[in-house]
Amino acid sequence: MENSTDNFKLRAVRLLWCILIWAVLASCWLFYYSVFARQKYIELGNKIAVRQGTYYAGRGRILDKNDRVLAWSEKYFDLYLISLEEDPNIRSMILRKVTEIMPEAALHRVKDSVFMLKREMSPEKIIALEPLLTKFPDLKILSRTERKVVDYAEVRNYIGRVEFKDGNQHGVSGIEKDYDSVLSGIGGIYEVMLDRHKNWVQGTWLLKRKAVSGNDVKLDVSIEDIKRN
Amino acid sequence: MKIFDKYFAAVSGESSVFPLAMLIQGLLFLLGLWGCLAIYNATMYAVSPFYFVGRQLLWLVFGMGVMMLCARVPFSVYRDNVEILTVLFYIPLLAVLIFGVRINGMKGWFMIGNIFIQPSELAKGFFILSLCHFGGKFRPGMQRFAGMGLITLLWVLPIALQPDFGTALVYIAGFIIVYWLMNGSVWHLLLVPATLFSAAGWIINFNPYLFNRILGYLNPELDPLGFGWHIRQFQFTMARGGLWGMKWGKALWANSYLPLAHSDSVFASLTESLGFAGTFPLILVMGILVFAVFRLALKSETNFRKVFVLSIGLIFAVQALIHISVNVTLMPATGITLPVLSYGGSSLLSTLIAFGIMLSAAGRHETLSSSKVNYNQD
Repeated sequence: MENSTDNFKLRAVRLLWCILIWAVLASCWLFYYSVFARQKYIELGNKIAVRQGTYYAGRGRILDKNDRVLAWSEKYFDLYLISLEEDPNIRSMILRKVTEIMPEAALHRVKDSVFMLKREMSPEKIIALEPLLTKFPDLKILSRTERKVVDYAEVRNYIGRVEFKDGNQHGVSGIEKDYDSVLSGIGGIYEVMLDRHKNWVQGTWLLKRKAVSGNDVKLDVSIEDIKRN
Repeated sequence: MKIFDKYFAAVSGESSVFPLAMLIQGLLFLLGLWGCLAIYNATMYAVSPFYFVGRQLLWLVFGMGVMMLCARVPFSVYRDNVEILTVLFYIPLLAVLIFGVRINGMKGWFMIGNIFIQPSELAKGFFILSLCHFGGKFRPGMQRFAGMGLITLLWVLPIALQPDFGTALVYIAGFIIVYWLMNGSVWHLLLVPATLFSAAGWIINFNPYLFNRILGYLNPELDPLGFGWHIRQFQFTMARGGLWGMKWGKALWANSYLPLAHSDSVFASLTESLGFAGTFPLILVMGILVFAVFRLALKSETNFRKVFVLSIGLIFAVQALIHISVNVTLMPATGITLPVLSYGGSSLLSTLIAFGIMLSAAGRHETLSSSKVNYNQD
């Protein structure tokens, strides 16, 4: 019995040594990645996940000599389904879930795999949609900024047009072009981590440069003068 | 306190085993709670962040109860009915190939309502028991090696067909441990890697994805967005953890990129939150647990019990080390859970059942002469 117990102990100890060596080896590997070579792998990871973007700096308003607003910018939020999934049943299922919150939503194909479901969503609807956005990564809310001008053809021509370039609005004709440097702000820069579906990861948004809004321009003519000319 | 005294007296049967039995159960519960925290950490950005952790906590409480129950059953009940138990736990391994559901490419689960049961996990402890039992019936030497090898093959084959190579590897490790502890020859054991390599070559020939997985492991840069993806994510997740970790609930990478962060990759996701300083103690706690099992095995009466008790502890250690090695990229991805910590009712329950039977085997309810199989003759 004594010999047998000793033999068992000897064999058990040898096995425990193997386990111990394995555990030490695994710990060394853990130390290597989490401490020793940490910086290298963080940088490699950031290349995949961290993206820098610019955000729109508010463009200044254009006012007439009586302080009436002639042109201004407005931000809208639209709901899109950007899906590479060819199965129409999945698209229908997602649409069904969305219509439970917004009955007026419908699929409008924008491009091959890009569908718009709803334009100009209210903040309440955006909050209500949040669980669906997490559950279906193909559902995305995209923002767009539109330049609005009072609804008179003469005023529209006089004020001119803007175009989007590098995340900011730039005047290409009329007053918008003449006073572009005053009206344009400086776009902000942010850094954010994206998940594998290219959605922003909650709590990772980091401001790198604050946006500076453009200044308002006050014209020395009134809206009536513009309409007459 | 008297209730506890009575319980541990029933489990251990002798006061010298009592502190070890208590330590083992305490450590298992502690690891289970640690696992619950890890699961919550890895799923906190999900739509229902308490879904997985809530279920796991229920399984842990239920599993601890089952473990205590299994520990109270005299070991002779298991030993005398080992044939029935073997058949009872072997048949589901075959049945799951026909009636099972496929999850993550493996047909290894039964779905009962909204509960998934993985028979290959539940059978682990009984596989060890059958190996210890039937192994003792063979003559020492080549006959025992071949006999036990054949039994192992019968258990491993349906698991490999699922295909669940990670669990199959744990079963093979179980065979090596039991055979070695039963005075097996190291020369015979050398045949195991030789056979494994040949089998692996043959399997890879029919499963090109396995070849790509190995290739992705050897050089993740070859296809960083494909076969190297999982390996790369393990590396990035651990790197973000650093020495002290991001902080609790800041496992952003694990939540965003790491596949199966709450089950097959739970160790890496823990590293992101707790860092090296937080996860290394986990390895130490597991080491203490295995050492306690070793001490318990030495106190067991017969060699049959000694072998069984230690094999349960070592198979737990091997599975944990395979999981950790995969997570720290020391091994290619095999898809295996970290026992007691990873999410999964079957995995948790199977480990706790196995430890329950182990505690029963370490107890001294029966006399030496009642043992049918005695390796002292070896």
